[in-house]
Amino acid sequence: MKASRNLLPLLEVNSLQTEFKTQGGLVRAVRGVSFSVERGETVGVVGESGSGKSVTALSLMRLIPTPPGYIKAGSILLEGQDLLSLSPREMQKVRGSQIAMVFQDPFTSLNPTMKLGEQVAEAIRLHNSLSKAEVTERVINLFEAVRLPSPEIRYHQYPHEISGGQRQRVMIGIAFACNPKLLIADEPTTALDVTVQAQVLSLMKRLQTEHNTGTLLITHDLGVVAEVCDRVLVMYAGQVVESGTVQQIFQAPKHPYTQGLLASLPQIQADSRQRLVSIPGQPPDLAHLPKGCAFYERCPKRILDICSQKEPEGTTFDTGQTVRCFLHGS
Amino acid sequence: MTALLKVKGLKKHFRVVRQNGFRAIRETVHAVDGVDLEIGMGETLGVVGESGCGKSTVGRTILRLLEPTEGTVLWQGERLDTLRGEALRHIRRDIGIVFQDPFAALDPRMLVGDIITEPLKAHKMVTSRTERQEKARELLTTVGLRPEFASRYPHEFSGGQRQRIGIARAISTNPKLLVLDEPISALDISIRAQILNLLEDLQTERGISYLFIAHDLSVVRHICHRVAVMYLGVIVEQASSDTLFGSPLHPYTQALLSAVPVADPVIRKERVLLEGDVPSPVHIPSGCRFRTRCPLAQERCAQETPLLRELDSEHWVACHFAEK
Repeated sequence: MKASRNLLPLLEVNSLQTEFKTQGGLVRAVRGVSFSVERGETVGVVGESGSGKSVTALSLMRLIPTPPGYIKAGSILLEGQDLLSLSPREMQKVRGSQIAMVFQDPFTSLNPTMKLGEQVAEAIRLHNSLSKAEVTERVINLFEAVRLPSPEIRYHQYPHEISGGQRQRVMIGIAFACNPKLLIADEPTTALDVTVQAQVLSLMKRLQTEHNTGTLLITHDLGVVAEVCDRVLVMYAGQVVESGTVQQIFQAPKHPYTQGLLASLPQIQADSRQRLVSIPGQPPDLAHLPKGCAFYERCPKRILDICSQKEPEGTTFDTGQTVRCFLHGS
Repeated sequence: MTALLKVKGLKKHFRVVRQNGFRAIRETVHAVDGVDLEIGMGETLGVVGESGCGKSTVGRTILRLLEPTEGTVLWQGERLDTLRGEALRHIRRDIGIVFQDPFAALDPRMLVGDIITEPLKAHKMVTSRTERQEKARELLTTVGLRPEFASRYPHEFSGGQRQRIGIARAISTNPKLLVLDEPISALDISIRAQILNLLEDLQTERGISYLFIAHDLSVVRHICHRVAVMYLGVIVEQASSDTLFGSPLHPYTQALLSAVPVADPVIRKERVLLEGDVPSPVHIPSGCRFRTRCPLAQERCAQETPLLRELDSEHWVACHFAEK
């Protein structure tokens, strides 16, 4: 059993669909997303607000607020086990111990009335039966692992007494408290300054290598993706429009949206003030999606007849790169 | 080139009261602690730094949205920091501001047309309702929006469109200088390039100068002619954009640049990782402010405050060891 488990990918998501019933209509936030994450691998999910990247993450954790949201179809296999078939109680056990999550805002994700050490201890106690002294020792060890200065003092401090970067370190400590197999990090460094972002990213990378954790890193910062990810999913209007290794995505992007995004980035190494290539218009309203390709309105390479009529199915190349565009097959 | 705006020794301190049990402790936040700046006609000066370095306070103090604690601000040779009443009002039509959050910066109960022409009304630059409406349509076209948007409300627009509305309002009085306080950091990536291009077009067409306040270094690199790097209320390095990004001399600038993730997987670089966080602006380290995190720090840095020196032509650095 153990051997066959290791042959399966750590996480396999198939045709996931998540929708929200709102007064403005049915919002199809995630429209058939499939991907996999291997052990020790970092998969980046990039996209703009409303592209469905955070809803995908919350669906994996089964943390979609129901109602108004619900997972309509698809499967989420963690080492072969379908998380969507678990009872709420069983899912509770998976969260924290097998899948952990780090959120964007370290200011709101910690409890302001609880000591930092207690918050980490809570996460450990939920999934292990240890004595009080053992738990405290594990917490101090974790604080050392995430490089919090003077961990014994930090144990008794409250969130408002430490900086944003340190708070995010505590959050990462909580996430790694039970050695999760999969870490979902939703914009973990967006609220931080660049110098602190660099510290936190290198910390996550180190812990991930030590524990062979698979990581799903959600971000809108293509720079962060290029630096830390092995593979990338580019999301637009609830779908993965392109996926591949970082090299494939950054050096040979095939989807016009990916190409547009990369061209619109100001380059820090560039010497001249070249005019930026911008993508015109704005993302579509997910409650009123157009017929055909969701990127049609903004696409510089659209083919008039098919693109506005049919939705592209997606093509997989021999190299493993996938793209959802009529310019490349169906 | 004559300077449009000249700032000398600008300081802004805030007095705060902290509760420690039952005792109230009075403290001073040194948000801006002696800043010299100059902006020429049609020039973009970037001010970069991490949160809490005082970059936004500099912008607001120049506009007199905050009263400076110390220092002088010269606007075309005229003292701006001591102006009052009508004279100050009059000069404000020459300086505009665009804020970071396009959702908070527009009054939700006003029509877009009224929002963008309100400065014209306040400065009595329009005489009739028809003229104001005409002007609104013209401004909307200038920023790339449809003229009929004048009769809609802000909530009907996306972030990028709202930022265009904010820019339309800022340029309504034909200002010579715009303070842009993180104008694109709240926008989606595919929208950012649109707004940056609009700002560049406006500068080419109207010769407006920009004070561009931002934390995103690649954006600053792209849009600014000259750049000032701030740390804990002071400028630590200032140079032309190409010089600063090409050969940074201050260890803080070097660390800041090396911390920026580059959107190219081939350039996975070795980082100069800074330890720790920015110290509190209440208790500023003695000597060099950066010494608590500086990889080069020595004894001398704790005693002597490094002054901003011109090491190369137009390249100013505040570090004892910048030559090495």
